[in-house]
Amino acid sequence: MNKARPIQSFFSMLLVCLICAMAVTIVYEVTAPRIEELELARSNEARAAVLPGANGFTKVEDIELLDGVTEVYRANNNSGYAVTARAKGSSGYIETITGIDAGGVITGVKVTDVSGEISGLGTNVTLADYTDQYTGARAITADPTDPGAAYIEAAERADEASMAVFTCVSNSLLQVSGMGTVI
Amino acid sequence: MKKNRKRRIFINGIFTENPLLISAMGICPALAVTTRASNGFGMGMALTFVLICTGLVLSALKRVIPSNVRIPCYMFIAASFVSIVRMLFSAYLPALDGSIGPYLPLLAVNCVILERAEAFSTKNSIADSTLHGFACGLGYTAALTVMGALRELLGSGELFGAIIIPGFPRASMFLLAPGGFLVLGALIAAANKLSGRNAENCDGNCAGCPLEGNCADERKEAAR
Repeated sequence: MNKARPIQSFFSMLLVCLICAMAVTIVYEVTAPRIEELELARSNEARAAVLPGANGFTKVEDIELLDGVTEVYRANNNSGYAVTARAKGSSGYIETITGIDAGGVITGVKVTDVSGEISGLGTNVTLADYTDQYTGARAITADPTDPGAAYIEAAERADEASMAVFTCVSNSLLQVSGMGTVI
Repeated sequence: MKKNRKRRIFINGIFTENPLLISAMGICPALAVTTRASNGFGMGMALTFVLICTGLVLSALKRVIPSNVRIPCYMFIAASFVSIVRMLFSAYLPALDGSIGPYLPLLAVNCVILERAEAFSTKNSIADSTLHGFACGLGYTAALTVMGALRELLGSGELFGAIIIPGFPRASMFLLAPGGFLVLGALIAAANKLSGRNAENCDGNCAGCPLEGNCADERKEAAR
């Protein structure tokens, strides 16, 4: 390597930047459609899993979303809604998709993003043992003495992440009840 | 002679200059992702790819890049390859991307990449730089995988996601930062013991020696 005058340094850096930008652009062009396709397939799969009776989904536009709720999809056969929500976990955001049928009953919960959680601890909220507790509930509570709602026990070694999922599902229920439960 | 040199570069990269266990570099992603052996392996492979590519490009451009702007150039090149590896992981290894994705961008400022670029790639041929990057990456991958396996086994009672011993007592601490430091410390101690690198048999070569800070100047002089 040699010492250079500012103008030489400028053009050298420009050359490096151009080569780097070109390489990144080429890889982006190749991978972007596949990444988009994978994300769409993952979301559709999750929505179908939490609302098994649906024959397809349409995004509900022009509604006021509650804090933490990011998307609401309506089943094409009006069997219910699939609500996407986010809440803060122990070290990042957790995202869930909650299926709620036309009668306001939870048909399933899928945790779709736990990338900020520690593997083996916070990620335990993705296990069926935990998420299955929500299925069939019309109202949920974290208080075992509350008789008016289904008690949800935190996942093993994942208290903060469980609270985040609980918040997501609560917000999803509130969102749907605010829209008028029966379709 | 040339073959010996290549073999030495390869062995140095994996063992005697192991980035994590001998040089104690790249600790941040090591502690963050090694809660599972598979995560450690994935992060190691990502670093290997970035090390090979940056070594190759920097070695090829060493006459073009002036010395007064070399550090920003290293950063541009490393960050570009990190972006590329992130996109490739998202597209073709989505499960692994979900586990280690948030930590991948940290590789752009990983001291392993910058140190290897400064110390090796800009002073050696393209073939040697590529080989050195590959060897260092392999050494780092092996260290991360072993560290991840130990933490996963002790913290979750599993190995690569499979339950090895049913009812194995689990200690959550090993999945958290303190457990990571304990396992890393134990591995560094084991590496020092195995490599025979200690104050008694010092060869006077301080480059990359973890004991350098504790070594008396007289001992260094005597060894030289």
